[in-house]
Amino acid sequence: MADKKEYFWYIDGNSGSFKMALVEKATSAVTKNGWTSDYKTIELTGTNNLRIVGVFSDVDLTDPDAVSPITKWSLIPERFHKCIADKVIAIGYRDPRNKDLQSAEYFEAIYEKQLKKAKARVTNMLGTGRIVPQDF
Amino acid sequence: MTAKQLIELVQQHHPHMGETEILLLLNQSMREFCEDTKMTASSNVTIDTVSGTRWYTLPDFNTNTSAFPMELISIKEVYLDDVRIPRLQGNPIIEDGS
Repeated sequence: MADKKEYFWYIDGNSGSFKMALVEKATSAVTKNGWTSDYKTIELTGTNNLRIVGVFSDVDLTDPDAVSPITKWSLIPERFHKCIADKVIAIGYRDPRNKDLQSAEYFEAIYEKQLKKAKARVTNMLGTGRIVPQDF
Repeated sequence: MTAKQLIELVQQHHPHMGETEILLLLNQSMREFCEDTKMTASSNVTIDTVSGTRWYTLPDFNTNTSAFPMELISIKEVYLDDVRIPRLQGNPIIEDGS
């Protein structure tokens, strides 16, 4: 039976770029200045063998007149597209060129309402539920 | 809704705003929306590993020129040779920088 190797990952970096470290558990394998570590660098070579499953934003829209434009968000449901435009309208009303704070508040409120609905939709679909106290 | 429709919608309120500025704000707001709601699909990226190398730069998800023009919001799971590996709590005391 093959040895069961224990691998771990951790992250470092700054807000702009991240690096992922891969280590293997190996009891007291690394020693330096009297200190010992139970984790050593992996000894594994492979092509596309590290797979990261993550949550990603949707793709950026590009200029509709460009050669091969991205004209639509594909991951965000269509019903929420308008609320993102509402957010931009709110930002526009805070701009000194077209300042109207009342309208900004109005569109921000519409956005927040839809944001709440979107969060609820995600929780309903992917959430694990919550424990509700029950009297017997 | 298409980009053109969204731009027109904004321009009805702000005719002085250009398409480039609106696109920039739409994409910025979309990212905030995705971060706040986590309403996005899980996706995979794969990286090659090299024996003796500890650190791997995550691909530049964040530009339209990259093969993956999306922004990584959070990491859900990591698989090495199809086996899920856990996240290490804290960092190892010895870091050789490899």
